[in-house]
Amino acid sequence: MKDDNLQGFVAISKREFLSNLMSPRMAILVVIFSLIVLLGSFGFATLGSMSLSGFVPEEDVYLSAFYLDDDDDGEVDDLVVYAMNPEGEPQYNVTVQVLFSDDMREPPYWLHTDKEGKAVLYNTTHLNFTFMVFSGSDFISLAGAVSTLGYLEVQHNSTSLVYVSDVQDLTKLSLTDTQEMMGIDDPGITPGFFVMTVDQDGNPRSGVTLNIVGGDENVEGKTNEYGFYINTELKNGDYLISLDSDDGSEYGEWVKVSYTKEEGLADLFKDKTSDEVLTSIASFVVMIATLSAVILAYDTIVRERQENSLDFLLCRPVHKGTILLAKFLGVLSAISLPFALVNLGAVAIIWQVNGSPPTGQLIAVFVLGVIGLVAIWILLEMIISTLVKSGSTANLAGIGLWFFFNILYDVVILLVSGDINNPDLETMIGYSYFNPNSCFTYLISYVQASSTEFASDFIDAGLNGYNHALAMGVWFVTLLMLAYLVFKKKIV
Amino acid sequence: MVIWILGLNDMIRTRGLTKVYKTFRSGEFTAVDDVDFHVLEGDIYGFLGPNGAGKTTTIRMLTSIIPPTRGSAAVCGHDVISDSIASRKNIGFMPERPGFYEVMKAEDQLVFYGEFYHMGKRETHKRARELLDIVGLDEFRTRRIKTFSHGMRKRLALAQALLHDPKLLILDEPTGGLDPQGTAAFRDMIREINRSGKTIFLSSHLLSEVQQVCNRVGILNRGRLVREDTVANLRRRIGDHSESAINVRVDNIKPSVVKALESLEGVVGVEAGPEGVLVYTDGAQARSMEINRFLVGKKVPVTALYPVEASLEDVFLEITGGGGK
Repeated sequence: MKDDNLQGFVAISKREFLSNLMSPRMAILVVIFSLIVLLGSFGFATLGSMSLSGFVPEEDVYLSAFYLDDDDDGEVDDLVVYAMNPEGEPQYNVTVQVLFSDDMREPPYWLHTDKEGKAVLYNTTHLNFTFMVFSGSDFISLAGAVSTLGYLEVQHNSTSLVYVSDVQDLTKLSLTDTQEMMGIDDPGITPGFFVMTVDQDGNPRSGVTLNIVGGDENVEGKTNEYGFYINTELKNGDYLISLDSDDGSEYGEWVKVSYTKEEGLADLFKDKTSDEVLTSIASFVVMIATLSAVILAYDTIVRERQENSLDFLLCRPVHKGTILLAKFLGVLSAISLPFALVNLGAVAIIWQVNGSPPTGQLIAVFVLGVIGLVAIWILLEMIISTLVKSGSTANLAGIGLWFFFNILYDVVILLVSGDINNPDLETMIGYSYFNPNSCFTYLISYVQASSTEFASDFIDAGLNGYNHALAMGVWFVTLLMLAYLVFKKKIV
Repeated sequence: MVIWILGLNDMIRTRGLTKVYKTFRSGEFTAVDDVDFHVLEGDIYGFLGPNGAGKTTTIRMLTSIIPPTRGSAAVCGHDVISDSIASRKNIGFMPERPGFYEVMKAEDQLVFYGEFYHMGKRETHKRARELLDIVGLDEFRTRRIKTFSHGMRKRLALAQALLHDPKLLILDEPTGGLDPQGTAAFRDMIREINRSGKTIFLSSHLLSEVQQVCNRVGILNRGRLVREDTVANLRRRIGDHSESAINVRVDNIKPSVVKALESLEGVVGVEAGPEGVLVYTDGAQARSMEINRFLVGKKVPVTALYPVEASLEDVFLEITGGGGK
């Protein structure tokens, strides 16, 4: 009898596999999946490699900005910007886009530095600016600024730099104020603390003596002929930067130096590893693969019932459970084969563009995980297909379920996880087990993050990918049993 | 475990077979109620009943497509529940509305079903072509089924039922929706298949079909088996206790002769028609001979004289409460 079952199993799964593989809808889905996954992987990988050659300048450009009070009425009149290289030399023809962060409706203003590395925005009343720096034709960098009179914090490629401006302005700051200096662990960028001094007219002041005191450090420095001083060797800690003014009084500024990894916008795709690129396309893969499962499996049972072909299967010498399992495996293999090939194609593209392949473990988890996820969705669809009476209802229910798990669920979880901008990661991880798609993406993220030396916020919050792999297994087994029970109960 | 004590030549035997459906709206509905019948080897068994009587539900239980709520059934000695695979191997099933995979070609469809029965690829193709030839679809074997007419689908369904050379054929309304020629051809095929040694269980609501094709019949009404017998016995039982008619074929008959016929002993009425007269008698066996002798004596040129037998329709209507003649 077992042979009969096996014979029937092979016959049904083979037919299901071939009919789905050759179907027009499969062809359409494979084309869409290929376009998105292959182009996506190419795009992400290319963007990553571009960031190494194009986004990072050959030489860092440090921006310094000062407000000038031309008529001494205590209000801002002009904004002066200096562009220097790490050696403290003025940078000519650097384009600086000034965005008015206190009034985003106002269009940006463009400045170009002169041979002294200086550009001036006259007669402005704005107090908050954000800078975009364009050097040459292909260098784009982000410089953020939160400013008050007297000092300006500028982020340059995620390196926050503190500018100590002219002595007069410094006096307006509280000595207890601290600023953070952050750098990223990247040889392409020199994280540095630098000071530029200017006079009240905004011209550089050379030869100003600076005292930097904090921790075990007690450093004395002097601004160069362009009013520039840089120190790239300060360790993490709080420092008091002080300098002597013309009238002999001493002014200072507390600065907190902490080198931590923080990605700025420009670093989003910068220097992405092959693993990171593969992880980046996971969300696209999830959406298309699960949608494909819905579209291909929604009428697996209901169509046969409507067309009366199910009776021809049920009267054969094969058990009901075998019919269900054979149909499931037939559809699963029909989707998995082309999709696994496309996924491996994406791996090949990433390898080609980045010069190194993603890690074997990640590739295996990625490809097998997609198959597992598709299996779960096929089972979900088969249950629906058994329960409903028409193909259109099954399709509609499937799309609804897809929408819920792909879009709505994450929104709901974000809402229940506290602040949307800063959600509670532990809560998010807890709820992720109830969404098979999240199980897959968390698993992939875990495998990717655990292979790097950087800590992941989610791992810190308790993410363990093996739990999500186990959750996927539980999803699969539960749905398989449910599908069998529903099929056995409803087909009467 | 059901222990079956079967007659040596029992192909189907049911015992208290019952199917109850539960619905949210109307509660319980008993589609088949405590049905006992048996089909002997070599029978063409007519399973007769009006629409909704429970014929298809019974068939779905016999083919193990659905389980009975109570009772049991055995096909070729195999219980349809505990030994369903063995029982299904002996069954060739043709459903009332056969559903195929529309994009498949006729021969490929048969080959697909052949894969369930350990038939080799070459053997299956050979067998498929033979059967397509038998059912008159040989020239359409490479055509996709979606282009087939209703009649062609019925023929293909019969072919697939015969594919694995089963001992028992279960045909659910096999001629439903066919034109007269198609129906006649189908009945011929059924007789031919039976002559080749296969037992046939034929469900139908067409009395004429069962009367013409079957030797034994079970009548199902509202889920209950109300009669099971041979077709001849059932007709005889109606004839035993009711009036009978004698059809007399004559070219021309005078009204005076008709009147004289009415006055004969045992004659209860006479109807004159264009082809002769229909004489209703009290049913006594000697009446035919007496009427014949009377007409010959009157020099009426009788071309034929035969009793009009009670039809299965009469039996059916009487049993199912529709009233008999």
